[in-house]
Amino acid sequence: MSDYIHRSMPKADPALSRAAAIVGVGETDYPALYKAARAKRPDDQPATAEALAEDAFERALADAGLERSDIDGLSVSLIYGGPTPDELSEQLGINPTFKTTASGLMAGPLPMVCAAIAEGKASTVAMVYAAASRSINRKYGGKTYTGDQAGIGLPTSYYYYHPWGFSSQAAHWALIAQRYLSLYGYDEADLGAVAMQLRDNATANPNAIMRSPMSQADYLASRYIVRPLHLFDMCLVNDGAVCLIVQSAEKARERQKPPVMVAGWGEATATGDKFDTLVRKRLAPQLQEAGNQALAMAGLDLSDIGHFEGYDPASIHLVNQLEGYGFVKPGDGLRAFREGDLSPTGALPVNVSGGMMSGTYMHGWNLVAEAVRQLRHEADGRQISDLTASLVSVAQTDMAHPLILTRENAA
Amino acid sequence: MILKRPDRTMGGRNDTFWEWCNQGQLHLPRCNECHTLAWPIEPTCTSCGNTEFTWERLSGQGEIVSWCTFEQDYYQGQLPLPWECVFVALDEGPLFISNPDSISADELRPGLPVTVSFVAAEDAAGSFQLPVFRPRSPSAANTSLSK
Repeated sequence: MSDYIHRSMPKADPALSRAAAIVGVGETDYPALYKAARAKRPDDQPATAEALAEDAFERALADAGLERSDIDGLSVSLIYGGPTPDELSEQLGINPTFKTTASGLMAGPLPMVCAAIAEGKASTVAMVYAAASRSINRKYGGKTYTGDQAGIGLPTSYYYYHPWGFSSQAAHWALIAQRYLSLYGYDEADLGAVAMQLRDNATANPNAIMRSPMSQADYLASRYIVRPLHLFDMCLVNDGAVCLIVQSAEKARERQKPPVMVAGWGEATATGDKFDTLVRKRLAPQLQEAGNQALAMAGLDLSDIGHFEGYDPASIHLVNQLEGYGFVKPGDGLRAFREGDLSPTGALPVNVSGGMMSGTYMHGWNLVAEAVRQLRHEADGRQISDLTASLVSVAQTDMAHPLILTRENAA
Repeated sequence: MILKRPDRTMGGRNDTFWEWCNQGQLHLPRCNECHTLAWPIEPTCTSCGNTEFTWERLSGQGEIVSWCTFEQDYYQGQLPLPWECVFVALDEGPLFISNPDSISADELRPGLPVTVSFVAAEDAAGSFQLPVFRPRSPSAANTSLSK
């Protein structure tokens, strides 16, 4: 029988550092899926989570140079629903002894799998994420959120302020952005530097969805979602899947491609007033705490990190994370973007494949995929020179979860 | 002009909050255990889980923390586009999402002192007074309590 218990994320623990490594990565063809979904041809079947998952799985298997019979663990993160681990195992033609569901957000599943491998529960785990969000016509904000959903974890701030017309995740980001711009003396054009850099990065990624160049005029002309945020400040909504294959460090070294070690992780969740954490503190205490955990676990300093992939549901949140981890000083984030410090050839390359804003919205899984390619030195056309350590950050409105991935034999 | 609004969250202590608003006053429940003022109002204290509260009248004074303007029709025509929200730090601590009342674009900045005012509104549960915020001069202390 399979075990579907949701395991809570293991704490940062040096004993688990580099115990496991990512040996395979597979991603669906995001631009093709995006085009198909928008075309809505009458004969087109909307992409299902399971079909997308199978596509990504097969690519990951090929990438790792492994067979289906090698897979003895399966972790399933179908963020908008789909088959159970048992059902997916059957569909994929695998027979894992270790099976679990895991968070759809790339916050927790990887540490959980590393711990399971370290405990001997499996040696070769396929981690599968899929989202058919556009195909199920998922909407965000406003009257789609009601107090009836509070019992299933809907945040209070999504529905409590309806009488004042305040709702949606975008509105939360807008409050942070407006305060940031006002306090640090930036204007809306300065905020555009984030979207523009990530779009520029996406033009070098064949699997990015948005690849047409974006000028400042384009950015400013894009419609407001919640002012001061423009359309181009917000991430994509699209279908896709990502599969990672994770093995014990020992087995990982037998693979042909350089293993990407899971060297560290951290997690910090805010208590207290959510809006205070988000709008006034911009999650800084949580980012710093979790970042320190991950670095300590990996035995690295912040200066060892040569690449940052940050969760970018909105431009300002990427800035929050860069500043909160200490990569840039508070208030300096937009200047750094504007002056190219965070470009692929800058002091710290950020969201090199285009992030979720111009690349693909895979809840952080695409960010890990990019880090894997960069650390293997196989990101043709956008490779960061001599990269040995990446920090991938998933952060929400009250939680920070960094991952540190390293190239084998890195210090 | 009565503003038709998307629905309030009602029930329990929420009803008491809105009854006080109908009197032109801002009152919030303070946790008897950890003394945190509750906003939003939830079944239990979000800080300590306690269920006993004592109602406290607030001054209605605070300062602007941030603001945003809604240009996307999240309420399917219920509110005329665009509309603005302000985010206020009340003097007593709670952070309050609301709408601006006569705050000019020039005035709007983090730290702007504001005070609560009430406007007539209506939702599915009936007519009510909606707390909004207007500018105040820092020396105009306690004028809102005289209402």
